[in-house]
Amino acid sequence: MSHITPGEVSDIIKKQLQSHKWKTEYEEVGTVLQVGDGIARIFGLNNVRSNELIVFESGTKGIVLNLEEDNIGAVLLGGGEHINEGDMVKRTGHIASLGVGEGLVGRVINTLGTPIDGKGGVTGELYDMPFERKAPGVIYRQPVVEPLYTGLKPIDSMIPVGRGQRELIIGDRQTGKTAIAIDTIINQREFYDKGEPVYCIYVAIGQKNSTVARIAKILEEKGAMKYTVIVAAPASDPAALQFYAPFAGTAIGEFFRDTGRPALIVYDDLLKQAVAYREVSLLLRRPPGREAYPGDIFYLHSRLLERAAKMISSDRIAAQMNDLPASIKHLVKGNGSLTALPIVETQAGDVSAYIPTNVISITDGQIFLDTDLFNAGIRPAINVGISVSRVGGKAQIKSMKKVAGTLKIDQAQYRELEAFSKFGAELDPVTMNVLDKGAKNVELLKQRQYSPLSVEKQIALIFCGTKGLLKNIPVSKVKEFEEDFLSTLEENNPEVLENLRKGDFNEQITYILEETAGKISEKISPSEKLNQ
Amino acid sequence: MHHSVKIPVRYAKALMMAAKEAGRIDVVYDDLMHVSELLESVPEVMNLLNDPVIRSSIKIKILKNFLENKITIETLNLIILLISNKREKHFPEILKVFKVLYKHDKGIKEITLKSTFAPDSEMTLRFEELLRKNLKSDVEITNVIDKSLIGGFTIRVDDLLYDASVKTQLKRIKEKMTEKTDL
Repeated sequence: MSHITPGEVSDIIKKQLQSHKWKTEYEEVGTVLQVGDGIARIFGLNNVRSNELIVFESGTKGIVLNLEEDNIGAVLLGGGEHINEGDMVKRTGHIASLGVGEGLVGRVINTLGTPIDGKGGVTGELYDMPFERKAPGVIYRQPVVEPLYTGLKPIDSMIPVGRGQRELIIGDRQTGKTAIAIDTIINQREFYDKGEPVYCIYVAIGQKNSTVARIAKILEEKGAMKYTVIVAAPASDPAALQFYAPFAGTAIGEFFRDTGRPALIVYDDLLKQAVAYREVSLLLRRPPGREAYPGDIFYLHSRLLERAAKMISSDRIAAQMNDLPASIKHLVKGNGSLTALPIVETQAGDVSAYIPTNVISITDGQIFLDTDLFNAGIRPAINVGISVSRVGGKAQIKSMKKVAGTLKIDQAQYRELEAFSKFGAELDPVTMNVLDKGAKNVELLKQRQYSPLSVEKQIALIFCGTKGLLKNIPVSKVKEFEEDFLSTLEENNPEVLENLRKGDFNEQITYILEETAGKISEKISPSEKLNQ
Repeated sequence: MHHSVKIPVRYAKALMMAAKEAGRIDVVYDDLMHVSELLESVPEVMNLLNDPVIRSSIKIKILKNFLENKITIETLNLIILLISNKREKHFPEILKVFKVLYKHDKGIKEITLKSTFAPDSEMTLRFEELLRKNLKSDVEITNVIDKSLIGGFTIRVDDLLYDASVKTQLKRIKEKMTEKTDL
C-alpha cells in the first residue's frame, strides 16, 4: 500500500459529502399492527406488490407474502425484537433479490447474499438476480446432452446424471446423502483445472453451523472452494431465510446458466425447507393441508426445480429468454446449464410420505440410499434396484454405455439369486457364476468418501467386473486389484484411458484391458488359479 | 397483543353503513368522540368493559343508565351489541377505524406533521394552504414534536410520507459512504 496522508482522506470524504444531493420524495408507508413469531401484519401500504421487499424502522427487512382486504402479512428476514406495534414500514419497490457475480465464488454467504465467512465484502460487479423467477420456457431449452460426472462408480455407470437434470438424493439420516453431493462437487475439480469450470452451489438449509463449517473446510482442503459458493441458512436463522435459501442459491445458479456456463446446485435438504415454509404459512394463517403443509407446497418445490435446465446452444435465441432480469441482459449466452441435486431425508425409509413423493414426482430420477446397505459396509449405500435416472442415459458417453449396459440387470439378477443362495441349497455352476460375479461387482462399486474417480478409470474397472475378469480374485482382494490395475494402466497404457474418455471403445482397447487385468489377477492370486 | 385485526374493521364498517342509512353519520361520529373522551377521562369505564367477571347484562345495565338519552340509538345499539357478543375489548380499535372511515367519507385528509418544535399559527396556516392545494381536499393537521428528527420535518398523509428531516438525510449520507468500500 502506498502512503496515504490524512489530508487526502479528508479530501475524499469532503468530496463525497459535497456530492450528496438533498432530495426528498414521497415514500409509501404503512403501520405495524402486530408482530411476532417472525411475521408482521401491516396496515396501509396499499400499493405494495406480492413478494416485495419492505423495510421496518429498525432496519429489519421483510417480504410481503399475503395481501388481504385490510392488512398485509409479511415475513421478517431478521430478528423482530426491535419492531414495535405502530412502527412505520416503508416500501422499497424492489422484488426480493440478491446481488450475484463472479466475486461470490469461493464464499460462504447467507440467504441475503451477505458473506458470513469473515473474508470481507464481495468484490467485483454484482448483478441483481430475483429470488423468484419463472423457469425458462420450452423454446429456450434443449434435451440433456452432456454428462455431469459425480465421480462415483455406481452413479456414473447405472444412474447417470446429465447437465441440466434434476436428480433427487433420498434416504434416511446417516446414509451418506450429503457425502454423495460433496463428492460430486469435489469431482468437478478436473473441469476447473481444465479451464471449463462447472460452478457449484451448495445450499445448506436448517443445518447446524458446525456442519456448514465442516463442509466448507473439506471443500477448501480438496481445492473445491475455487468454483463453489455455499449458501447457508442454518437452523438458527429465521424460518423465512431458511425457505428462501434455495431460491437464493438458484438465483446464483441462474447467473452462471444464463451466461452460458454449466452450474450444479445441491439443496441440502428440501424437507427442512418445506418445514420452514409450513411454519411461516401456518403463522400467516393459510389453511393447512396434509401433514399441516400448506396447499402450495408442491408448487414451492416444482417451481424451484423447474429452474434447473439445459439451455439452447444458440446465443441469439437464448438472449430472448423469458423473464430475464434487466441486470444481466447484455451478458446472456446460450448452452449454459443448471443441474439440481435436491436432497430429501426420509423417516425409516418411508418414501410414501408427503414431501418425498412430491419431490420424487418432480425430479428426473432418484438415487435411493439404504440404511441396511450402509451398515453392511456397502458405501455409497445406493440401492440400485429402485434408483433411476430418467434422462441421464442419453448423456452417457459411448464407452460407458457399452461397458455398463448390462451391469444394472446383472446386479438385479445377483440380488435375486443371493436371497435364494442363503437357504444353503446346492447350486449349479451357472448360478454360482452369477453369484460370484455379483459379489465382486458389489465390491468393485464400493468407493471411499472424498475420492471421486474419473470416468475413464470407472469404465476400465467396470469392464473388468462385467466381463468377469475378477473371477480368480477373492472378494477381499478386489480393492487391491483395483488399485494395481489402475496404476498399471496409467503407467503403461495412458492412451487407452484417453480413448475411453473420448468415448471410443474397440477391440484393441478390449485386448489391452483384458491383458492387464489378467496379469494383475495372476499377481494377486496365483495359487488359486492353479487350483482351478 | 395477539387479537384479530379484522374484527374492529367489520364492526366499524357495519356501524358506518347503519349510520348512513339513518342519515346520521355526523351525529354518530360526535357521539363516538364523546364516548372516546369518556373512556379516556374515566378509566373505570374501560376497566368495567374489560372485566371478564362482570356479567354482560350488568354491563349493559350500567352503561344504559348513564348513556341513554345522551347518545343516539345507533351508537347505544353498537355498544350493547359489542357487549352481548363479548367484543367490548375491541371498542377502542373500532373507534379508531370508524374515525378513519368517517374522515374518508367526508373527504378530509388527516395529516401528521412531525417537527422538532411546535410551528406557530402562521406556519401552520401556510402548511394547511399548501397541502390543501396539493391534495385537492380538506386537511386536518396534527402536530407532533419529535426531537429525534434533529431538524426539518416529515408529513404523513395516509400511506404517503414526505420525509424532509435532517435525520434521514444524515442516514442517507452514512449509507452512501459505507456502501462504497473501494475508495
